[in-house]
Amino acid sequence: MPSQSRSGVGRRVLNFVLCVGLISAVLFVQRFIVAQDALVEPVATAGAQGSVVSSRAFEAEVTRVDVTAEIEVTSSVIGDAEKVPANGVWVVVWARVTALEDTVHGVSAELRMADGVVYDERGWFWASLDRGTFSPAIPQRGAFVFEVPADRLDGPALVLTHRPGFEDRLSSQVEIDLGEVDSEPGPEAVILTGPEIDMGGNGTGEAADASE
Amino acid sequence: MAVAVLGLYLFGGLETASPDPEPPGTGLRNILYEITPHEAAPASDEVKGAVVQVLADVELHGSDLPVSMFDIGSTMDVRLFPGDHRVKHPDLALTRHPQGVTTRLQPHMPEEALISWPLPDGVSPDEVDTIRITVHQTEKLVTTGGGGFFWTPVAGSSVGTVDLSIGEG
Repeated sequence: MPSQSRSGVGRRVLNFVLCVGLISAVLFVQRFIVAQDALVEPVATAGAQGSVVSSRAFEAEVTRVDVTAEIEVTSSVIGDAEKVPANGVWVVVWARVTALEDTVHGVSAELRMADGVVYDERGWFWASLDRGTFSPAIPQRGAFVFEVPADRLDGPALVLTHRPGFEDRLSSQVEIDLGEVDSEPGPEAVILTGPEIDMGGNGTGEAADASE
Repeated sequence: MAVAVLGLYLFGGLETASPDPEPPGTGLRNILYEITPHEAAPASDEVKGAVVQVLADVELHGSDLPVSMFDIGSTMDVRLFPGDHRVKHPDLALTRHPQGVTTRLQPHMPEEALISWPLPDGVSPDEVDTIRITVHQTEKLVTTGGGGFFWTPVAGSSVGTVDLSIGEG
């Protein structure tokens, strides 16, 4: 009897340890459950200014960032050149964007600050790169234009998302860290030029109006 | 308690809260934005026809993400008098660059704006002498699946009302 009693106690201890182990395993595996919204959020690739950041639908490279109090819009389709002052500062992000598979009709552009505040591309200027149509393997160089309160310009990242039909679930997205950007605007107005085809990457290739 | 409720019922219940309208220049602030209407005038819009245009200061203070004018407009109750005609779906143009289309307010940027509501069918600009703007409290709702969100008015709430006389266009 004592030996049977000992084996019974042993089984109970073993069962208890197994239960605790299983419960711990279940709790641990819970950590890997993906939230419902994360299941379908855009598929993002991160990179930094100066490097090519690729997603499935397109790739992008930021070449320069200008901060200015005034932007000069040239050859507007609705009027002559004009200077437009900012409510804050203009952040003009010069980039080279290339569609990789299919033609991409516009990419949605946002400027996301380190504290999570997001500003849309201003959307006022026809020459802005967010109006572009990108044919596969034909790079275009141009600028995305944002208007930001100067005191909010802190650790910005350019976020480009391909939203075919305004649908961004599982869409292609790149996030490009722009590093430290001085919020003090430069003395000159930045001239916003329209997108140009840039096959060579040295800026000397024949320019073409990509909006046509 | 039951007796008190019964008594309240027998005497007609509580009166619906209807705050007195404030004068132009009063800020109406909910948890998402603040709007300070200053003046109103009739105007003509190329697409929407006759509109009532309100000059106002606006600032989005309760969101770190841009918010659509559709959401902002849905949290206002705007009526034209006489007639108590409700108008919806305003357009917004910033006075500093009115030719630029502004469909979303950007966070933490005070702006002066012209906000336009189309007149209802059968109402001419000459008939309208007052526009009454009531701002509701608002809450953020997440869409099914968690992929998006929108701002919606809290039913029955009000953070204030402003009456504007409609001047000459």
